Amino acid sequence: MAIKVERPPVAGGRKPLFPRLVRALNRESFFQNVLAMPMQLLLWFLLIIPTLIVLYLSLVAWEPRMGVDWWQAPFAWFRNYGHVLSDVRFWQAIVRTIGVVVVAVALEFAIGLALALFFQRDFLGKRLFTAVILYPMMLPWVVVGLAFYLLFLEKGLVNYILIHFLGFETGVAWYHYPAVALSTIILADVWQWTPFMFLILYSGLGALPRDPVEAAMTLGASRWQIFRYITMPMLKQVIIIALIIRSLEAFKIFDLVFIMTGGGPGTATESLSLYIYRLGFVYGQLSYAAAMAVLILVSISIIIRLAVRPLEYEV
Amino acid sequence: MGEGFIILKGLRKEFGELVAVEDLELEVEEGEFLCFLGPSGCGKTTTLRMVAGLEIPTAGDIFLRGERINDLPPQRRNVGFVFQNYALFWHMTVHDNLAFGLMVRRAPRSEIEREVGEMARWLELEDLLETKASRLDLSAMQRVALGRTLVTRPQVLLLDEPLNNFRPALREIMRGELKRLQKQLGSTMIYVTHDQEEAMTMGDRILVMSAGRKVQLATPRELYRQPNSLFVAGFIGRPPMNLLEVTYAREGDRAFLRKGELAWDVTLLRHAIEGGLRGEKAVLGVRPEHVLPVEEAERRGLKDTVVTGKVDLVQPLARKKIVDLFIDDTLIKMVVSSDFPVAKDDQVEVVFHPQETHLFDKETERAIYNGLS
Repeated sequence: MAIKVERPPVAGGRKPLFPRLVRALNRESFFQNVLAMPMQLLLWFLLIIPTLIVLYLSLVAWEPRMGVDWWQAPFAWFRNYGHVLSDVRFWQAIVRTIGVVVVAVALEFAIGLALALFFQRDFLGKRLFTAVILYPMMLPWVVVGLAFYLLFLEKGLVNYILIHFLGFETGVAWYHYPAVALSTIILADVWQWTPFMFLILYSGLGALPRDPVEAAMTLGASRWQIFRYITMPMLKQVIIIALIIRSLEAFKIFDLVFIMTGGGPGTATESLSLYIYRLGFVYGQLSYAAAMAVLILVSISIIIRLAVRPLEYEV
Repeated sequence: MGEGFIILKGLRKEFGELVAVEDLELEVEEGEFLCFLGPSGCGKTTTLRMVAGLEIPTAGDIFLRGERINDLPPQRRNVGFVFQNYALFWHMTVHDNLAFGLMVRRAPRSEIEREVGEMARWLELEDLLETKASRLDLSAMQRVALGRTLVTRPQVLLLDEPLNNFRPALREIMRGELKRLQKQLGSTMIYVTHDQEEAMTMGDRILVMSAGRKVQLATPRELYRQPNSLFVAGFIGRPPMNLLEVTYAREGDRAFLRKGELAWDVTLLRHAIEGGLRGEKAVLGVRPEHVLPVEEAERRGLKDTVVTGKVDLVQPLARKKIVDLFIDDTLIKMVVSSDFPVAKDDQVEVVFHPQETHLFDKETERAIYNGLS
């Protein structure tokens, strides 16, 4: 009905003055478009137009200090991209960020899964514990970053405990060693986002059919075998989705680094987002930063495409 | 056969307030095909799950081969279970489904392949071995569910309404297949169903359950001829037994069952009746095939009270007809041969086969007599 364009003229009715306009208005799709308009506008102004601008910026050579507006800047075409690819600090940031993502997400997944499995059985205070576990996820990044920053300060709580309860002579300068500083950031991320993994895996486990597990039991499978051959494969899709969502989020890590180490010592803990931010807004190399952002956008899109693939061939 | 192979003693299961199974006593012989029959929610599946170890009894004991297995986890009972909706491992191929039981037992690979191959051949699944379980049709799912369990050679096979999802024609075929299979393997089977026809055709014995309790445990023939209660009488047989509320009365030396104007002379049975009946209210039962047209009764020399009914509905079958009669305002079904001339609104005179009537206490619902006299 909705798509039908040609309508037989109503017998005895008058011919409309603007037949094409009337037909367009009569179409249901027109009305649907009107309803979708606010969302469309939002999408265009918040997502598509800015993306196009970034794309344009990446193709010109523009810095605010040049004194011209960005649409007047000369084209540099792909020179910015070339620079990015030969930028050592860029590659270091990428490797570092991927490292953080892998370690943090792996830990979050392992702990989240263990908790989710543990919470499948009933025990006293389960509801209370569930609420407590979910709590860190509700905090803003900044709050978590600040809390962990204070914990690991020279005179922070962690060093206090080390010195006064564990007999260390001096505290540890957590933010002075690249690997240690990075670990504190990972720790903060794990603390904040394990609940997310827990939540998804917990509900995923709860939604699994019970029958195959029972069938496996009557066939003599041990708990480990059931977990390995029945539960995990059935949970696979949920796991993939959880890993994708969390990895994407983690890859954008900014706040924690910005607040806790500021990328330091030196640039030893600088994440990709932080580097791009600095390029654009501290060093004023906006075109360069834009090129980097576009590169990352494209590569992430490709990676996601590949990651989602196994989901599409299931069932 | 002596000692029971499976023994349930005072078995009880509660889910919160709900008593699903109440103090069940049962002995199953080795090699027997036992059916649990009852309406849905009567506790038959719960009982089965307790035998398999999937539910923990609230009270009572389960013995298998004389060993108390209450505390054994399902993994160590060697009891096969075929689930109502098959519960296949949907993410695995047919081959992996069949191999699972042996794989988790760490059987050598060559043995697994041999057993799976044999089972697949026998269940005609050879062409489907590499198919994912979720893509099978119902009959193949059923066969995989069965094969997956049989591969492990369980001591006992428990089946929970496995034919539920089949169309009637296939059901009948599978019924025969299962029965043949059971005889071939000589294994002990407990088969849960709510379909009396299934139970009657397959079971060596049938346990009729209602509301978590055992009602009657007997052979199909006994259940049909000697129902011990109103419940069994009404549940077994199709069309169901006609049940008429009657009043028992003594008149001098003689005794009668009365319903309105009608009276049946039960003088000869009065001792049995007075021994069993609490009050005077009783229920007279007679199966539709034992409601005889008066001519036929005379021909066979069966004499009893002649009842007149008005035909309400005639349902012709191939060789029989089901006739609905109204006697006053009570509906009675009778089954007559298809050449018996009858049409709607006819007046028909019938006799209840005097040797095939049943009497139940209205209050306790227990049988007082079953077709003696």
